[in-house]
Amino acid sequence: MTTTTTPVAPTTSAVVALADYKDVWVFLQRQDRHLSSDSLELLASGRKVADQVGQKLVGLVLGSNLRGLPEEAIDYGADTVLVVDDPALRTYHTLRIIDTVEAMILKRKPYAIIFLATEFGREIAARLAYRVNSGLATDNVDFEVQDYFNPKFNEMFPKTMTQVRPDFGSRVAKIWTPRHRPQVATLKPGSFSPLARDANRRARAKIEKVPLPRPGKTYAVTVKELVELPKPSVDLEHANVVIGLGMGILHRADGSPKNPLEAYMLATELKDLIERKWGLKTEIGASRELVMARVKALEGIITRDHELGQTGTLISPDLYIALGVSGSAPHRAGIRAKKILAVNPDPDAHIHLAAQYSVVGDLYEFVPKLIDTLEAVADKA
Amino acid sequence: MLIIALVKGVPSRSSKVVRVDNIVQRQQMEMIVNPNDEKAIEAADYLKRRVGGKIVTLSMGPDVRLKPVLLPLYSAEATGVDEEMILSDPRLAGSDTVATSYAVGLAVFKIYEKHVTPFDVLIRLISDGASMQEVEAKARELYDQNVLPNKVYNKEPGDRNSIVGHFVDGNLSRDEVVARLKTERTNATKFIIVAGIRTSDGETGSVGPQVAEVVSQKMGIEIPHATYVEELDVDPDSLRVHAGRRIGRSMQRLEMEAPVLMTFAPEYVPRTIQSVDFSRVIENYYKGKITEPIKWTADVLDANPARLGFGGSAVIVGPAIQMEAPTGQKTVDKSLVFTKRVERTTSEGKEFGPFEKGDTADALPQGLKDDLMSRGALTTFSLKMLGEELLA
Repeated sequence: MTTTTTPVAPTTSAVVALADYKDVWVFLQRQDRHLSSDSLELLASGRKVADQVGQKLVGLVLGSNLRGLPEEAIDYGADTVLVVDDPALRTYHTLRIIDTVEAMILKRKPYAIIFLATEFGREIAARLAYRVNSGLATDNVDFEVQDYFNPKFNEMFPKTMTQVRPDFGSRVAKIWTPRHRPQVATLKPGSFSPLARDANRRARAKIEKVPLPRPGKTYAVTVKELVELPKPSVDLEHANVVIGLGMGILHRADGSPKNPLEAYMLATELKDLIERKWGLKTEIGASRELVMARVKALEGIITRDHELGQTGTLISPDLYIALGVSGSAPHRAGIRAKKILAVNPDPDAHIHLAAQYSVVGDLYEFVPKLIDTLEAVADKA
Repeated sequence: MLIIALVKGVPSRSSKVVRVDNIVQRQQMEMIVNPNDEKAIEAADYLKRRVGGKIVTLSMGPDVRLKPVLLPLYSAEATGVDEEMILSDPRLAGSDTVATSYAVGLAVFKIYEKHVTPFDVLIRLISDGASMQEVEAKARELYDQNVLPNKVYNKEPGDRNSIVGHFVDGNLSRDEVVARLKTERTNATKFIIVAGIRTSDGETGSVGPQVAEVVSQKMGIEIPHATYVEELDVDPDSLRVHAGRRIGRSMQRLEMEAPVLMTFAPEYVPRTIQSVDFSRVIENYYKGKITEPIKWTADVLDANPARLGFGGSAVIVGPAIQMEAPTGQKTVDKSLVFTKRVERTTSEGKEFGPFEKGDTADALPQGLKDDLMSRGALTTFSLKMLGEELLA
């Protein structure tokens, strides 16, 4: 697919006329009758970019039966909302959505378009970026608009989006897409806080309905069904305290094997204590790695319902106690705890980077001591 | 059925990242097969057992480094990989996802072409009135190159149960042979590309969907893709693909016409094959494995050189910055914390504080810490203190 390119002055290495591209777009997703909480964060990130570049923030709301969602997008930061409300968009038909957004991009030429780094957002962003002949920066945790000088092209690219993403574990890298437009990016959920809801914004904002492009087009893919999975048996989402178990429970700090059921029993003891003495709803979860490992000793005890992190249940408890969790980037992305206590014998484990309280040591030694200490604290109070 | 598995060599987790001019020097790092790609190999293996055909892996990177990690895949699972292609060229260094997808997508197209043109060659020969001997000689040559399935030609002595065999034996007319070869050609165009959900080094998960787009544009059709696939089946008659994948808290079930590209989630477990038409599977097999990986340079791709490697990349990656632990982090038995409130204080010309009881002093200059310590204002953060703060 080719974009219609405007002739470019020979003095620049840019592949399109950069100045023709305006406004920051965010691709919003819904959760039931509302925008997803991730989408509110996405609006906040887009607002920051739009303000820094001095342009409008445009929310894209695609789907069917979208009543109320465009207004919500405005309340949380959008200046304009482009709405495509069509039954054809009901079932997450990837190619249909890519076609729709592509048509909008070719017509309106946005400066940047940001998606959520969810399963769905990722694949749309990737294929779309290729279609519109641009680049893609994934899993960003922050954006910043700056003039960017590239020594290789010996050229200053004014007002370019600096995209900040994790790189090889515990580091972050800055990424630029200086010569192409729109700059396509995905935002890692949990990186921004939603803006305060402001219904007064509606007076100045605009909602524009866009028809589905090429409504008669047929595809080599059909969505046969979209079924909601049963609610998880563990209510991680509403717990005040979550105890997370990771692959570290399979070993002692010295590397000798340990029956992970013992860690589960310790976690249960800790959970019971917190619920009994503090009255805080507490649940036990597990890292994706531990769930996927299908450990025999934990069969039927640690299931997919327990999965934490980006692909599991997103949690926002007051306290997250991570036992033997390494804290990979996708794991941390799904945890929005007010406080994190990390227990891991490896001082370089990434979970320590996210923790307010850090214990470099063996959880099998530490947790019994913590239980005793908490008992004593509770009895004194 | 042609199954193309995208396999990446990635640095092992214990390997130190080596960069020169901010380009990752993969040849200097210990290499393994990207862990997520194992699921793609399992899926490829499932498809091959279900329908027959061959598995060709495609990798991009320095061939000398990739060979040792790719060789074990020939014996993977039950049937294993039949051919391995390595796209190895310094001109591909520094590729971002777009430039990577461009090169990989063109290479996928080349693999596809390699398995479809033999049909065209035979059809042309037969239509042009070539002798049976000529047709058989050509079919044997192509069969030996592993680009025609048993169904089209099979040179086992006495086994004439192939299309060309029937033709040579006079059981099929020229028109009938051409018609049957055309049907088989159509089947050969229904290939499947499989990949892992993402690589452990880049972690973008973008190359899969982009490769689908590159191949689509090259072939002039629209190839669907599905990422995070957990359920997979294929109808051996229609070659329609059924895939299930999770989107948030829902399971989406898709029916796709091949060619199709899928990336497989770690949750994917191949179905048990209850019954299989073995004769069909064997008819769809090719001659055998080519157990020496084949190196391709960018020359085979017919690529636009401006779109390859660093020059063809749209994104530019700046230097990586080490992330810091949150300020105020307290490590049990290690961090120093204040035992009482301390007013604003000066040390070596700089002002610090005021501090509250419980604040950490870890980030303060050593001289100030020593001073505060001697005044009894600091103590090591203990388990007891943790217990008091944790649920407060």
